[in-house]
Amino acid sequence: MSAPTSFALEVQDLSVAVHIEHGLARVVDGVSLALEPGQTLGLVGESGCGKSMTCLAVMGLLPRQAQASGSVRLGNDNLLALPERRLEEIRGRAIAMVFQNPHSALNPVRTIGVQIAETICRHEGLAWSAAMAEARRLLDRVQIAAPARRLTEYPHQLSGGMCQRVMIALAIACRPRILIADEPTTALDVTVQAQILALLRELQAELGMSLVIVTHDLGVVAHMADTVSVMYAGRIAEHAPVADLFARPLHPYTQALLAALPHRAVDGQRLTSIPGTVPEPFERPVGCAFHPRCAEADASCADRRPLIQSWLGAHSVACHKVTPTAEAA
Amino acid sequence: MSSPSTHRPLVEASSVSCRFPIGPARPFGPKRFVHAVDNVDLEIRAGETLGLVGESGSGKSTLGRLLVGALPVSAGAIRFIGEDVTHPTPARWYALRRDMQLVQQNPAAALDPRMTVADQLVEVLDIHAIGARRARHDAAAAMLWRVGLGSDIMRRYPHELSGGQQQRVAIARALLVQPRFIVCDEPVSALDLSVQAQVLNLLQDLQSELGLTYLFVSHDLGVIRYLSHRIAVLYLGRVVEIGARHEVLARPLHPYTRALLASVPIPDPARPAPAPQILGEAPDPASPPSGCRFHTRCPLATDICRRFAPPLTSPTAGTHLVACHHAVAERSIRGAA
Repeated sequence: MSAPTSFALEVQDLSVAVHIEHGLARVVDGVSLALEPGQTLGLVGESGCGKSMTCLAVMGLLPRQAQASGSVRLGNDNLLALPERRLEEIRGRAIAMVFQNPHSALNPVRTIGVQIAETICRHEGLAWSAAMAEARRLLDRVQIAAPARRLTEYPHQLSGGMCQRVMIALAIACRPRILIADEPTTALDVTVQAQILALLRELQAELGMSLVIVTHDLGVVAHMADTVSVMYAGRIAEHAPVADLFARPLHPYTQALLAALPHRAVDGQRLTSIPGTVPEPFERPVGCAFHPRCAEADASCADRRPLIQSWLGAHSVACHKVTPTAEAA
Repeated sequence: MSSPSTHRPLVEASSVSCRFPIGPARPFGPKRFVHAVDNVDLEIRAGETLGLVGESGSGKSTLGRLLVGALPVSAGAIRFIGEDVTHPTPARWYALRRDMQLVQQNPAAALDPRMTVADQLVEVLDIHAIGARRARHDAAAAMLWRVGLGSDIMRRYPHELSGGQQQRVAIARALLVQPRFIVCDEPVSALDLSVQAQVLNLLQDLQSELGLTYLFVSHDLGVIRYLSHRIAVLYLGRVVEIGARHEVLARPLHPYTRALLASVPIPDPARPAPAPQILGEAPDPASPPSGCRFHTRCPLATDICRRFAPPLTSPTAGTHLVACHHAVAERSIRGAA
């Protein structure tokens, strides 16, 4: 056993390979992440970039045909090496997850109360009536009106925003140290999104949790994250404190993403688009995965895979075209 | 972006409603209806983009479909260049497809999975007997080129294309009949950000080249802001505010529009995080609140809001209209002082 990590969660060189028809697809390819205690890490990327697979690997919830390598360090433990029995103790208690689609993440044939109380009984060993009382308190805490009535209802009787509140209540039931929220507001309307994001911030401060928020929405990341990791085609392209990422994006992909935002467009100006599309996991280009779409790419980009290296302090980038500097120019 | 405000309306909706039957609340109970679109007045001017924004269940897609005749109107009238097209004869409805087209959110579902790209494009020309039969394949290829696709994809099936390519094919198919009016129903919502920008640029280019008129339906205010000349805000089947883009965005008059705008997280960490503006979620459209439909969530609501539905009027005697008792009152107090 190695020395415990000072991070709340530390992912090192995580790769996930999935068996598919065409062979083996590396959906996550050498990803390293570090989550400071009490902080929020934003994991940003487009569909298929491997951000959800990274979360599932951390939770030990990968599908059977997927294999993870590397390490996921939580305190003294490497989660990837733990047996399922130990993982079951950690999941929910130390680290919990909120999924994108709350209606499909909840059990449709059991009441809200039973689903929350079950989790509490299992992890905290409370009696059923005490667990139900706790479930009621939790529903109240996530600002669900008439919690006593909602306990007896089924997921289909609740709206999308209310279901997501139930998911959050479930996730915080055992006061985890780490909460992973995978696109928690993507399925919700924008006025409800604002409510849910505010609730997550409140709970984080109250429980002292570290938060990983996975999203494709750069607006959500701007207001939720302390640090941001940008993923492209299974790899980390750039990692930076949130203000630096938006003020000074270094990777051509990050720059292009920000330039493609309609929010930032000046009147009458065309949006900057990235030519081509995200490559499929089984046909990733050699060298830098972004080079076929990159305006600055040259022969070396098609040849060698760039390693992620620190550019200045906590701002690091995986690009041959960005050279590390002692101080920002 | 110049606003083509001098043009006459291309499409007009007057007091348009659309209701769908839903199951009774209890067995053998009375029939119930969802009023998806309720008494909407709208005009779309030739050459402009009208952005239609609203949350899920606001009826924005239904309204788009009503305007192109893809859904039957329950009450009210729709006119296209002055002609009443509310209940056209089947032959007229058919012919109207050449003037108005629909581009949908999910291109994979909009395209026929068992036809090659070439076949489904040529089919459109066959149906409307456009051009000589032998020239149709070339016309399809030319249209694909116009939307930025090579002719190599002509022989492919939709599942072999990426989402962005599929949406370009769907746009090319809509354009083949040389329509004047296109309803774009969330055309970029299913696309990734990097591809979304490609399609938005394409729609802009096509509008300026071909003089198209768009109704652009979206829940994404960033996209609406970028593309629209005018913006209409829909809440539970009713237009609550409509006006020129800069007016609606810079001086929103309806409390719902204000809440909507303030809820959007701007991708800039230097700005304060959006605080929740209004509580709860939109009520069930099957049993909408009385009076102003927004009153259950509105911070300004008073007794009059619960009792009477506010009409869509202009407090500034201009083209910026709002349906709110208090927006109007605020103005008249200021006017009297």
